[in-house]
Amino acid sequence: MILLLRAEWMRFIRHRPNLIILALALLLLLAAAVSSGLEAARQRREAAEKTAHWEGRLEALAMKLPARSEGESAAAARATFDFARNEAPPALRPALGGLALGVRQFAALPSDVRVSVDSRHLDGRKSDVISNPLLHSVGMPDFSVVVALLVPLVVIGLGYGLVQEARENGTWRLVCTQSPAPWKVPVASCIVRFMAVFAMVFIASLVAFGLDPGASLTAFLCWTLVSGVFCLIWFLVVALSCGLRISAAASALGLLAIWLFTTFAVPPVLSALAEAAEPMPSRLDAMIKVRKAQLDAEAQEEGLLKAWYAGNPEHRPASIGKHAWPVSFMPRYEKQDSVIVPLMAEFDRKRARQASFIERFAWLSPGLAIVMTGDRLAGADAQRYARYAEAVDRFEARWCEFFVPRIMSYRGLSREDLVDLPKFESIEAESVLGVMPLMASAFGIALVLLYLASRARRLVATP
Amino acid sequence: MRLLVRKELLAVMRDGRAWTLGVAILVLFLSVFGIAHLELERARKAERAAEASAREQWDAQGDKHPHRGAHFGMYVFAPDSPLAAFDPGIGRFLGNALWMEPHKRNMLRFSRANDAPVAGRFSQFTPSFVLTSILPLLVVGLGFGAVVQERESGTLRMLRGLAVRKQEFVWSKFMALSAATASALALAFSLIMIPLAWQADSLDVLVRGALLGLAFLGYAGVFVALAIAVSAFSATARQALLILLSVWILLVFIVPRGAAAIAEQTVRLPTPAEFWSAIKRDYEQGLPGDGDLATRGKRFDEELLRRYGVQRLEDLPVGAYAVRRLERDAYADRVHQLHFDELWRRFARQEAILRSASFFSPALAMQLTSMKLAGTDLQHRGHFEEAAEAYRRRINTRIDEWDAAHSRGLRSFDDKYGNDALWQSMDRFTYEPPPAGSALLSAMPALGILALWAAAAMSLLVAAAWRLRL
Repeated sequence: MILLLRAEWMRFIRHRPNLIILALALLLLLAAAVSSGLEAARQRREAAEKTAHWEGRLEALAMKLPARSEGESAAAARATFDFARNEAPPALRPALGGLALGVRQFAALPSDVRVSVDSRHLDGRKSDVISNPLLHSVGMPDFSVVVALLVPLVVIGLGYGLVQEARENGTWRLVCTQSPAPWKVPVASCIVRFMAVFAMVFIASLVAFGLDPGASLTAFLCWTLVSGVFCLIWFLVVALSCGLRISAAASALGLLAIWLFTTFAVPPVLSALAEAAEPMPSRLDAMIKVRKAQLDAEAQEEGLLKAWYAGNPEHRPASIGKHAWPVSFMPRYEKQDSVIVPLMAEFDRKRARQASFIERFAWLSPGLAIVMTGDRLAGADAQRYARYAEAVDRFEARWCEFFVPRIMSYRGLSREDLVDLPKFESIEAESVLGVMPLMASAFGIALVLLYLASRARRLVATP
Repeated sequence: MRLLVRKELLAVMRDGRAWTLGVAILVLFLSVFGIAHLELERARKAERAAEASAREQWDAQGDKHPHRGAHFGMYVFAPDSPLAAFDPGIGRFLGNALWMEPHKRNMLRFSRANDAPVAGRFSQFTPSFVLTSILPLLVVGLGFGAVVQERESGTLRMLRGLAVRKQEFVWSKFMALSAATASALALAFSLIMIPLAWQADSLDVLVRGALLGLAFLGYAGVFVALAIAVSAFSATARQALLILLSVWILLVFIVPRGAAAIAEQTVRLPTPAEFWSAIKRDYEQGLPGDGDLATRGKRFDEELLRRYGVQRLEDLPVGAYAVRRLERDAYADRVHQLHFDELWRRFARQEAILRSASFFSPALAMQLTSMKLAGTDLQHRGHFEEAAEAYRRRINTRIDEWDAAHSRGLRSFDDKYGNDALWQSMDRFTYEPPPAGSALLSAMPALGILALWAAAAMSLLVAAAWRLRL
């Protein structure tokens, strides 16, 4: 087998089109790696700057606050309301060690939410992302997406018709008569090509991770393993196609059809199935419910205000009897948010459940599976986003708990209060557990294909 | 020549591969269109219902301060183009609901793509994608061996022996494959235009559909010419197939995505924090020469007192807060306009980069053309947003003018003198999308590039015919 591998290697590198395909693919992968790595570094820098900027701003704001509470006043309530509405620390969604794999997917969803004491969900400015939809509709090439699209094409380009061509030019008959195990020849060809393609992906991944200062070794190792299995799966598909008694051209077209089907047709089908299994609530219905909650809370304004002071007698102001905005609005916000927050959280939860559903079947589309693994390693997966959204909601609840009494009591905020200012508790640190099911199913598919390929040996052995 | 074309057409008709691939792609195209059409209809119905409910809520707000009523706001919805089922364009990546409130201009929210965990990671699987990406593969599959296999089997030499000219031979191949592709396209477009024309109450959809059909015909022609030319230049069928597949991958998948990445890196968009805080800063600190908010307010108050000949705002015969709001909101509108225009300019610059990149990819030129003709591109959405913004300003100005006329001096915000009659008196938002002519005009640059591609492919075909080896 070693001799065969050596011979196949020589045949491979002496065939100029192979080298051209590899060089072009490496160039494209490197371009994607550099672009993704640099973008990941930029995003991490921006996130750090946001935190630093807020800390600087907090220091400046603190200087404007009285050292201690100066008693009840409408101005103190208003200033505290403005602080609570506009000056919350950025609740950042931390990226994981594999950010370079899915940097654009990470940026597609909010990663910097500003909590508030009024209804945050009504205001797109506090969380929504600004991006050009045209670029998304053309296709934004995350590194994992480029790998998912390009690698199968390279594998097909290098490996299609390995046996069929030999059959067409008559050399396969010779191989069959000369060798007791003719299947070893295409296997050796596939091994040589696999090594070349995997090396190419490895080098590009190394560049992508190397350019991202927050990259982690764990994420890199997981990605290396998964991308290796991904290459293996496509080579096994190519190897299986060697057993078919069709022309080399038909084999190429057939393999491309498989690539098109698994890459472009399977993901929307899985999405549709996920939607059927975990139907997403209607955004439009939610919008109407939100408006109803606003109207109801507004109609009950006076009652809510009374109830609030009745429930919190220690914060009832001694010197102020008639309440106006913003004080009169605080119980309204609380009431309407009791409807709006769970309504909005349901979208993130459903999205996460749909993603989990798709992940279970993702290896029906190896391209989708490797992209979802990339998302997991980048911290851009839907499940993690849902946990982040929950953490933001918890933080917002603490933020309101801290500020609402100070606004309602007209005592306002003083410098000494800032020590207890709520901080956003980031979501859990990196764990590879999330990618384990995807990795396990990848190995499973590879093993099934390996078994089928071993069974197809007899088909190859005929001239 | 006519005989040759007839013979080639007959060969295509008798080719099992052509029928299998053609029927497969047609079925795929119609299925994807059917699903998209039904989904779009469902979404349209839901939007109409939501729009009606939102308006009912607006109309029945009850008694409240007019400005608080205005702050409850209204929703308007970007209508989906009838051809969005064919090419949804940017639609999935941009929400359809726009919330309108006083003082501030908002952006469209609730994009469908953000709610779907894996939407559009590779591409949107749409009828337009089938024609832009998969149809060329079909052409490659049918055309790669057109000339080279005749050479390999020796029939080319025989034909030359019968005094068939090289040019006639190559052109007959081109015309036969073009005719087959055009027939498939014409059938596909006729079938999708029937339900659309049935529903549409204007010729606009038909005109757009016809233009799209013609553009796709030209696009398919580029690949037919490339396939035949490469087949003529290649030494073996395998070489032709390898070259054509590489070209297909490059033109259809690599260049468009690479261009999107370059556009994103070259023209940076502001982060939301930067964008909104710049608007806030310019409003509060004022645009150059205007003075800050306090100075502008003081200046306006003085002018107001002088105009009405009173000493205090409390003595004004009109609602002081409402009049002040009219002034401040007009300024806020100006500031918003400046920043939104700048944002849209950046979008346009990114689009220009994509357009330039389409000199290297007819697929990208076709994608841009298709979105524009289907009415699902940036320009159509920008047109809607501008119309909605004009409506927002008009409604808020009307409410403030009503408030100014129905109150005096500094009237408390807790006074509830606005009522349902006021809310109901606000006209409904009506929107007329740009006509097909305007879409065609904005598609002209991309169409021009597509025409250049067609010319280049034809030139290559001519060169291939001249240099055809036996």
